[in-house]
Amino acid sequence: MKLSRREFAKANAAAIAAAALGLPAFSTASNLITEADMTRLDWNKAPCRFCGTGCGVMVATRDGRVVATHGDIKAEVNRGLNCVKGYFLSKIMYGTDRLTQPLLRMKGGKYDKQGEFQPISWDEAFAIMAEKTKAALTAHGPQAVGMFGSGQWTVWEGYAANKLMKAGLRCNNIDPNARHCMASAVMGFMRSFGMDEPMGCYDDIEATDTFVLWGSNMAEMHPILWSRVADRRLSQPQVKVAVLSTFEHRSFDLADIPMVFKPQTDLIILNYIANHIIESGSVNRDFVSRHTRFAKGADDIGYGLRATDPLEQKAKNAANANTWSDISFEQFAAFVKPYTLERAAEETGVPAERLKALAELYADPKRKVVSFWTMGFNQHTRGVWANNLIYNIHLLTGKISEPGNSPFSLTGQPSACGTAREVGTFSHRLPADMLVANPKHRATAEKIWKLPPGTIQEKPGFHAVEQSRKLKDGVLKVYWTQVCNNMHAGPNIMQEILPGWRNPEAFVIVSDVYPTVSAQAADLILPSAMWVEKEGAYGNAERRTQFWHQLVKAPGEAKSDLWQLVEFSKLFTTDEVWPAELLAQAPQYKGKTLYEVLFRNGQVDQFPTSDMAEGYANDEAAAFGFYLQKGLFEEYAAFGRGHGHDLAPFDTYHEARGLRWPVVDGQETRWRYREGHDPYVEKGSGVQFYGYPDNKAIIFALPYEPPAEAPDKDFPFWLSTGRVLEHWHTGSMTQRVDELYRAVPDALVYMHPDDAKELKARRGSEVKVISRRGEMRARIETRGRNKPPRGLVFVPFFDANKLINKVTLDATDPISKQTDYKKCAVRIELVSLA
Amino acid sequence: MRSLPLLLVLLASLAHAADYPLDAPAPDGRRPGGTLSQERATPPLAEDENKDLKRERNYPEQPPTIPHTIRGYQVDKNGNKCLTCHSRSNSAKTQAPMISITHYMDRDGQTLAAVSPRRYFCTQCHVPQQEVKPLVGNDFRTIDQLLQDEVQRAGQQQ
Amino acid sequence: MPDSIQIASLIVHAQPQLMAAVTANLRRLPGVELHQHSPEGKLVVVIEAEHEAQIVATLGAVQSLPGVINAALVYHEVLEEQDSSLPTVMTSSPEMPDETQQT
Repeated sequence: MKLSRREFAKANAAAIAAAALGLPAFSTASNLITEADMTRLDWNKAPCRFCGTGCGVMVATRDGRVVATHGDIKAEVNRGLNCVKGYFLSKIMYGTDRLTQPLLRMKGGKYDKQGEFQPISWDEAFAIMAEKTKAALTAHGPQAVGMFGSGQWTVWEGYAANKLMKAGLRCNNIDPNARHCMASAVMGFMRSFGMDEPMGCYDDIEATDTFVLWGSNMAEMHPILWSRVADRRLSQPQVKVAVLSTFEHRSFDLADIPMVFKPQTDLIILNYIANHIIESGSVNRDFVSRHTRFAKGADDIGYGLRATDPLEQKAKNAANANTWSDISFEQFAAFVKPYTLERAAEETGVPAERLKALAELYADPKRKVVSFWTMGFNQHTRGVWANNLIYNIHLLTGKISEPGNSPFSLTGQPSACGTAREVGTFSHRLPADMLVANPKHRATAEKIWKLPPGTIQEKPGFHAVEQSRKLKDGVLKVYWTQVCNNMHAGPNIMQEILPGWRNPEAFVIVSDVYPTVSAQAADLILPSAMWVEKEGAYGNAERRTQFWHQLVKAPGEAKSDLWQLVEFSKLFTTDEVWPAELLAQAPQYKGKTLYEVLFRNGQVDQFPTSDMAEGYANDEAAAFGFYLQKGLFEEYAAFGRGHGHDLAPFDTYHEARGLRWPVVDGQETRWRYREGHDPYVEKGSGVQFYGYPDNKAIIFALPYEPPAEAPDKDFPFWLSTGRVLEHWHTGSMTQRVDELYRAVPDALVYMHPDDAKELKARRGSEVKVISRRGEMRARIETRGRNKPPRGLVFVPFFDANKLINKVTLDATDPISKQTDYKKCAVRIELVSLA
Repeated sequence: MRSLPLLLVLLASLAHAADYPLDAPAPDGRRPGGTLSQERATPPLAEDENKDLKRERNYPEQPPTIPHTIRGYQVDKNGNKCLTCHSRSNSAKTQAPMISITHYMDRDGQTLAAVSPRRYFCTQCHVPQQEVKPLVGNDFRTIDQLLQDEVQRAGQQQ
Repeated sequence: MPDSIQIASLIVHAQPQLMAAVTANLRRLPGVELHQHSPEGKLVVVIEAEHEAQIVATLGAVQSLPGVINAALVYHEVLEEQDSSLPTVMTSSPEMPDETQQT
């Protein structure tokens, strides 16, 4: 029979609608003449692979391949919309250079640090990894081994990695690239509220009448949330949008109050607003007295550089940066008093009337306000402070934890919250906001994991930037990275990361899907499965946990990160990696493999493969003989249930379009800490910040302090780095999609036209961007989507051929250890006029 | 504004160069293998393809790419240059493709008289294409290609 | 002849007890095809039309049918006439099908 495109289109249209409703794909219509088998596409839901927004997509597969993707109309987050990246998800797995077999650097048939990559088997790959790991553990102890993971790990991958490292190998040197992304947000939450993650949710967007973007360029970085903001602003005349940044960008297109401030002076604006609220009598006194207390944080805390750096040695409180002492409201008011409008206008470069208009948006008791921020605050040597200071403003006015009043920390990765934060894959954390340094928390984890007391080490491990330094110093000997590209995205490549990875003492393993810059710098490359090639779970920025099924097979011998972690655990016995005293407390584990102790513990392996939903492959369950993902998830969920982090039963998430935790009695929570919304708030209390024992949030007195590096006569420009709409982070996936590549093929140096003229350059000229650490070459753009003020250049980081992180500074926030990618000093040299 | 540049100059001079090679052979990705420490010449800025020819889509749900340049187009809260040709009311006289009716639905699925504000910023989904060759190929197969593969396979089996 | 045809799909939520009436009314609307439905009152409807205005009108008509709680447009595709008239696949023939282009 002939099948026309028209009939195919109809069948497809029906299938998409049926999938949205969760109805079977087969048409029952008698008036549609098609051969079902010829037209059938299987449509399934999955969250988008890219940013922290967590849009729902529908994925069509046929013959084991993804053939189409489409915004999920039933997904609350995006209701049928995707951004341009999301619409091209179908193509991200099909770059022609997918890695399909393990590759080891070899010379003469043996591993050699300078050798050429040769294909080897998985057995050979694991054998050399185990050999190197055991040698490092024997000679130097657990501190010689490290792992760098990601907010793109699925929940169970992060959980398995965390357990393998912190319990199995007894090593806390595991950190996610989320450290580069929202560690400052985490510490901001922990200090202000004693508990991580936003109190509100995206529903705030439709409930508010004011949006303030602090350094965030949502138009490019969170396009679907931006479409919701634009919807609200353009359809409700009272809604106002204020946008603050160190340069003008696409989000300014919607701004009622646009503000370009000098780098680092956001701290002054934040304190000025607090001062304005107090001086204008706009403090919500009842809220403040019932639900907050005041503290003065340690100041002069350094810049997270190497301890030998003069800046660190000079800093009074570098060693106790995360400390504070109680003060009164009056003391707080006196502390912010010097942050006057005149001073703020002078030091920030923003006209006084705009600053005042901004402050009045917050102060006006009739106006609801949502504040959004991402990397502008978080990638900041005072990023934790910036987070604390924005909470100050919302707490002073009581504009928090209710629909439309919401300080909202956005995330950059699809599971920055779900995996990096909630699973606790940071070097200092355990699941459900617990800490390795806390003996009670370690005991809780050891109990859930059925491990002897003392298994988990007390000392926090090396964080992201420190890992690079320890590789260079020869302290870390074996280093495994998964689902991230730190040689591309990490700071100060030339002085720290590249010398670290290429250190002859180090053995570096990179699990990835494409030959990224990191894979190119590795010693062993492991081919990974991605996205719908495995069953997964992500948690987005509004606490929404979302699942997907495996829909296609990974190519060649590529395997999921989960399989890699669990299979690798079979190569170690407890006797090899645990001291005798520890084993003596758990004689039943003697001679057992880490696989048996960690993953065949009667919990992780308790669900048979018959529990799996019919019709879906699950390569990990097939390999290990039980429903591994479900077992890991349910064991992990035990950490948070009853403790404010409740997750629903595993199977629920395969049905729902995600649920926002805590999920109690089947109900998700949209506004935490608010009676009537949050089941953890006691009756009659109205608001309860139960992260702290006294149920109060802390308002912090924190000053302005200068950045680690600022322009001078040798390096006269500020450099800010960041992302673009069309590419996701280092572009490993999106630059392999023709349409996205051709939309934005190269990283450009965005510059003010007058600065270009002064350099005797123009749009299209090739220049070198040079810092004290390294240089890169790129072309000038003076008329593009970003319009920097004079004295600042912006360079995006997605381009593998133009590595701006050769130039950036590895200064971090001393509290969060998150790098400041937004501020360092550079000079620009003309290479060719073009 | 205070700053601390002198100390950093001192720091930079203390950083020692590694006494081992930083580059080692590797498979080509987007960047040729073994070139990480090097800085390479950059290609000149490419122009947007500006032929106004409709391009093939990978699947019907894909937003069409923009077959012309949009440099200098104003799309902000005061105006939307794209809609001057592509809106329902203007497309007939300009002969530009009219935007899909899905763009006239609000977040709750209700039909509006004008383009939904949630769809207002066109470049969130629609992008021009520069005249450049992809760095890496892509093996994505459209549904039509897959169906042809199947027919071919069926033919070979007979 | 129109230059193109338009295909759209809707999801419709109806009151379960009025499903029979809803489906009967839907069948009377021009260009409407009924596909899957569930006992809970969920329905899939495909519309074929020559102009997008007809789709909008049909959507409005569906939304105002008694017993319909909500109807939402899920999918919309414009097929150029050239495409829709060409055979895409010959399922019974071993020969290669005509080269087709999708726009």
